Amino acid sequence: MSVRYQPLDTDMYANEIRGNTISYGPRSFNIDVSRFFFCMHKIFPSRSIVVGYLSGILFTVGWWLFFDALIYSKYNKLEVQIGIWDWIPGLLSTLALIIINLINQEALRGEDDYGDEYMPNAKLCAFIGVSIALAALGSSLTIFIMEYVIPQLQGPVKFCGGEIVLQNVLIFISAMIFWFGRNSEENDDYL
Amino acid sequence: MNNNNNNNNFKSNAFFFAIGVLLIILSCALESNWWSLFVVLTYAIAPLPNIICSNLSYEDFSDGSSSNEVGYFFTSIFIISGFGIPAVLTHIGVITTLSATLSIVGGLMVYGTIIGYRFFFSRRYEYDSIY
Repeated sequence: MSVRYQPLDTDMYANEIRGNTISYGPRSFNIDVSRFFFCMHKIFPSRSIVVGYLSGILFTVGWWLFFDALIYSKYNKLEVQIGIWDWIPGLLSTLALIIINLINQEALRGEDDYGDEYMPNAKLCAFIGVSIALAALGSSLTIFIMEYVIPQLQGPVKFCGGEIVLQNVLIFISAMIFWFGRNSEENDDYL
Repeated sequence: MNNNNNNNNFKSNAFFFAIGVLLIILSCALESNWWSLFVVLTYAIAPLPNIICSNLSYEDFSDGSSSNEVGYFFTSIFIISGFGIPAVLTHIGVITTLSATLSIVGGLMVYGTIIGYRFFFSRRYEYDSIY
């Protein structure tokens, strides 16, 4: 009993070349994918665009929540109005955002042009920035609890206090997105 | 053919710009309350940081440099302020919801025409992203 082995067909256009009318299985097709990827960067936003816009949106939504609480409490003459001390957590968060994002990432990792000599200073700056951001979060929570929760205020007054906490959470998230989104290792902008 | 296409784009841009300005002025004039005119300011300033920072970056083919990202950051600050001013004014009851929506839509149309102008008529953005 003899078994006849067919050779493996690697040429995808073999059927057409040989002129066979019978096709076994699905016909293979070939699409030049690079032709589609060439215009992809115009349709899909790249990572830097997403990061920049997203962090800016979160930052501004946070600050407008605070301005809403400020203007609403002053305009309607609520029992507890936004005073001078309630500005401090938001300003600290903004300062932390600036400090964190001014650090050069190459200096932080001790790569390329920057040797190891700048790495301790960069790490100190990152530490100071992150601790200021977390301090602002904690101080906003403290203000909310001591001014609004413990006196058991209800309704729009309590909402105005909650907006201070929301502002600081949003600015913290935007700072983290802007830091890690810009500086992560892999660079997929070159499609 | 190309020239004709450009002319059509120019006309549609001017059309949308005029409609946007009309909507903003309507939002103020319908209530005879001119507070929502501040929206024009934010949407007029909005593309400026993007333009400045994209010209600062010296690499032509990449939009991954950090100066561009700062531009996107400040641009989105101005865009969201365009939403924020009418929202706060509506919350305290200075302007009505109708004029707030009209001013937001009009401002977005004005900003869209500026983006469209940069996309269609600036040769620099042929290989760049439209955002």
